[in-house]
Amino acid sequence: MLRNMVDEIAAWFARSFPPQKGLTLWLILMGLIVAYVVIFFGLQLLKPRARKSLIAVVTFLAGLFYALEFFLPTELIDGKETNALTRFLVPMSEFAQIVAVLALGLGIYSLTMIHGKTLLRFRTGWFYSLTFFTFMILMATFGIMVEEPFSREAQINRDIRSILFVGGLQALEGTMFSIIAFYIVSAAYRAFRVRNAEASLLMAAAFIVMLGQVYAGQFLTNWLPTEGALSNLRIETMSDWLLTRINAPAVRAVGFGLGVGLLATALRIWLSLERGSYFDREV
Amino acid sequence: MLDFISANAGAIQMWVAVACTLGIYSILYKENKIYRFFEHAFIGLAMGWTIRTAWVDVLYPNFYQRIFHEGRWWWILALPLGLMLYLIYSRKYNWMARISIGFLLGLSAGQTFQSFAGLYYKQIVTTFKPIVPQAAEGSMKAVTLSGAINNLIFLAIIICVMTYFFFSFEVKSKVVQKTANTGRWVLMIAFGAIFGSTIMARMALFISRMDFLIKQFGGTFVPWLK
Repeated sequence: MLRNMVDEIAAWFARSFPPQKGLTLWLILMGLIVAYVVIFFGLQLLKPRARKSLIAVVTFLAGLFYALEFFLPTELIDGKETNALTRFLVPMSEFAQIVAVLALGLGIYSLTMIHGKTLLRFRTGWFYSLTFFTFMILMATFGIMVEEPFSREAQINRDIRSILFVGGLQALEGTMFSIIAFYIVSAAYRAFRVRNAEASLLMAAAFIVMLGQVYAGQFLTNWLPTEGALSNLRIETMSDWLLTRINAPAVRAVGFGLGVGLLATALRIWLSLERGSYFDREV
Repeated sequence: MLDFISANAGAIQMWVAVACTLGIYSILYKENKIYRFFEHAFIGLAMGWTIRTAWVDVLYPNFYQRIFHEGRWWWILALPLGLMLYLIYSRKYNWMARISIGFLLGLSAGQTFQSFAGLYYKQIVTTFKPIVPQAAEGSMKAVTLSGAINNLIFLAIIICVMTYFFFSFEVKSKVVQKTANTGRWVLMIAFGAIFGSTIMARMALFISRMDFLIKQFGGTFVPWLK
């Protein structure tokens, strides 16, 4: 019944609001912009209590779609478990993606303000700000630039994009993350200096896992047979056993705790029950 | 200029990658200007690529193309919600940014219900493995003695670790305390294994960069390095 109702509403929407082109499209868009402006100033007239309620209602309605889609009973249609709302999952996530991507501008604005001020006032490090802007603009421009598929310009654009992406970004990313290995080791030496049995256990496990993944480590127990009880003492077998039989269940148990915590937090946020500096702030 | 770049793209790309790799590794000696230059270049490139991805993968196909090419004007409804986020910088209107933030929070809260089911339901089911050796029967696989012992260890560890993270009320039972204590010991081994794996993953990246510098780049000048 619910499925029929939702289908009818979707069909009515498709009939009443067909896609438009040309002048009609522009008129509709202009009309919507005017409506936004009116709503915008109308919202400002709301009292603080009503504003809080509005935020709570928007939060609830946004979460309600996914909650309903999850909790409503499903039917097997074309080999897939679906309910009345399943077909709206993709458009809804695309809608959310658009809003989330528009939030990216906040990060760009923030970085632009910080580096822009440094650059315009020639503060210490202005050259690094210039570097930041130069590479950001270059990458964004050559990344977005649309070209005819087989033109000479297209080839040039692809080559420059490849230089920036493969030569620049990928190399920098790989190198930047590889130096973390050195930092982790030095930080670990300071933090987990083998002082007690627990720290010793941690270090021993790390040592076995690391040795099990390199040829030099595997060479140490290479003389042991590959079959039978003694094969369990080979370093790569011990490493694998630690990862799959000790590490995996421990991580899974931590994951269960995290999952339940996430679920509880999600429920609190969805129902606007969460408290704290952000949620209690006056509006 | 552009033609020269295009004609020598492969060589330029390699030289750029070498400069980037060495520039970043220079930090291992000490803090220096070359490292800082490449660090900012990295942030700029990453930001530029994020902008590119946002436009090419999301805004262009899902927003611009749908409205202006296909005429599906109702997708413009996403715009005010997105733009309201920018009101966070306004003193007078910043409360409106919370409408959009609330919308995004509500969506992610709703998605959490679905992801919890997708992620953890299967894990809960697969946690209950057979702990008694048995022969293969129908679709059930055979369980050897060592397999059964390993399954028992798997289950025991999950119970011990979950008991360790049980903070809802004070635990006075000796049995529960001992179980939690065992969970703590197991966690130490697990953290050690994670630590070891993380270092090896980073080492793999380091080896990959060295491979690039020595074999790919060095190999173009000294053939036996290839």
